[in-house]
Amino acid sequence: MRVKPSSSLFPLTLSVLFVGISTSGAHAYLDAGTGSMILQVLLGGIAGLMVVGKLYWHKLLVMLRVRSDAAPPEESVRQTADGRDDR
Amino acid sequence: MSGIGGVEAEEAATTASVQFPSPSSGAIDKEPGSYRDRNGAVFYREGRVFRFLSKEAAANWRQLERTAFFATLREEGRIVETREVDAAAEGLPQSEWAATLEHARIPFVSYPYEWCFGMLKSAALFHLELMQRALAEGMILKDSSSYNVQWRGVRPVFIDVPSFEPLKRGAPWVGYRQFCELLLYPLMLEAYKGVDFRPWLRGRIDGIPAEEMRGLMSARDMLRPGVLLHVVAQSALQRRYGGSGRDMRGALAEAGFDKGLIERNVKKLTALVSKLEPARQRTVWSDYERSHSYDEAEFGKKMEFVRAAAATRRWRLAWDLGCNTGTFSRIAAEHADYVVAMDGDRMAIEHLYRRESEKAAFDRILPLVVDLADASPNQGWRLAERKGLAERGRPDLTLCLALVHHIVISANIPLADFIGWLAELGTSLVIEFVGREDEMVKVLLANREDQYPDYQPENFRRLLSAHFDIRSEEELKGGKRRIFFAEAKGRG
Repeated sequence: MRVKPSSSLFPLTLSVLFVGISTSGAHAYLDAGTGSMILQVLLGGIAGLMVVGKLYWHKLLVMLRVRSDAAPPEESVRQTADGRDDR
Repeated sequence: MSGIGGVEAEEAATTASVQFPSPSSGAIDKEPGSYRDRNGAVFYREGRVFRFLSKEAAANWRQLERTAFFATLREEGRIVETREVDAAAEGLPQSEWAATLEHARIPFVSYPYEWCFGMLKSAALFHLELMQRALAEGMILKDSSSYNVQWRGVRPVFIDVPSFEPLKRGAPWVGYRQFCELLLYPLMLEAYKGVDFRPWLRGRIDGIPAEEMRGLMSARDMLRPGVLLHVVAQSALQRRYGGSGRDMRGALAEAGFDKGLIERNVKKLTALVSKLEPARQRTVWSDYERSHSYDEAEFGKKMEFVRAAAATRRWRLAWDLGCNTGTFSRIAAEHADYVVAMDGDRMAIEHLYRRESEKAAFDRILPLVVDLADASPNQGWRLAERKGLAERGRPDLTLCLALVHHIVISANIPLADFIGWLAELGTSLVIEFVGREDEMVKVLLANREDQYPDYQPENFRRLLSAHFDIRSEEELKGGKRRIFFAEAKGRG
């Protein structure tokens, strides 16, 4: 019995959470890995849930058109399976 | 990562690095492994290790210098001794760089694919401790490369000082993924699967990716500590979001990601790594000290011979090849500044590492897992990022005890070739010839065709004499073995 990553809880839940978020920020020479960064929120326990809540809130505002969103469509996310090429 | 070369880094540099003229005396040799982070550059001059810093890195360094944890760890020798130097006074071409640091030398550079489990585990825990202490003072490690840890004996030393930077508000732990790939997954591989992590680390300079690690985990492994989150979830999330091109760091900062989350992760990882132990504790040789083929008197005779040879002078660097659990490495260490103890058997090295770690003076013997017939090569970018064994420092004394039969018979390396290689090292030698009547040789020959006509005592002596001056020799085990002390021709 193997759990398929595509059927695991995290990507499904978080695909809703994290799509549509785009802001500028500082960059390091090392690629932290988008998925690894998302995981760090989950590893944060209750404090992490607060962050998830805020991300939800942001997403809600975007959906209600209270806040604008300049992010690319979700399709572009699905096209590349591996983000290691830029390391 | 930026490496800090070993005792003979200048030698390595002649083949492995770019040289450019210096305005003052002595050429500058750039460390070929120091290129990833553009905020600094390591180089060597006349046996000293320097590092240029960018404006940003210089500001980080000045902040780091004021922290209490850095002062303490530097004092304890756990972070490499580092000081800022005046480039102009040193005659260094600092040009566009903002500052220059000088680091103390590491006696012999080693790589994670040569460490035993305990060493990799120590390096992981040390890294987490540095994270935790840095976070407490508003700083963080910008990367989590296992190559940033080196050793003084069995004592880990952190060498990449500019890795410390101020933690920006809302920033995640950028090095977390690297920590998993280079430290956590290799440890899990050996602890959960009983698989030697070294070939994986040697095979890929960036370690084991989450997706690959995920593929190695069985359904049962999913239940083991840390697997579901650090392996399965990370692999799934990386696959789903890895190529999204989104600025997740910015998004997290805006959503209120903070230091507390990193601290929690670091704390949990510390608990997880602390509990990891190698799955297979015993291999053929790890109990050698109790099962070797010598009786006590003969073993004492052999020890005395080695001790007398080692005592003939003070050695800078000794290698103990096929060191097993280090009995003779300890004798060599009485007369050498530094001993690199190598054996192909990982549990023998584990045993040596643990025993040395229990001692008060534990900074003179570096245990490494090295199979001489398949030793670490030059590899990485331009085949110069990680260096082969001899490029990192040639020994002036080498012990080859109960080794030659394994080299010639088990590894099929011609005797002349092996002696020739030792001669190229330019080292003095304590070497034991194990004769055909010896039961250990009989075991090796029991199930293989005897294609070793060169494996004869007369031939051994002839080859040895061709390259070395034999200073002393002695019969052991009633003539089944013979031990020699020989020096490179033209020496002494």
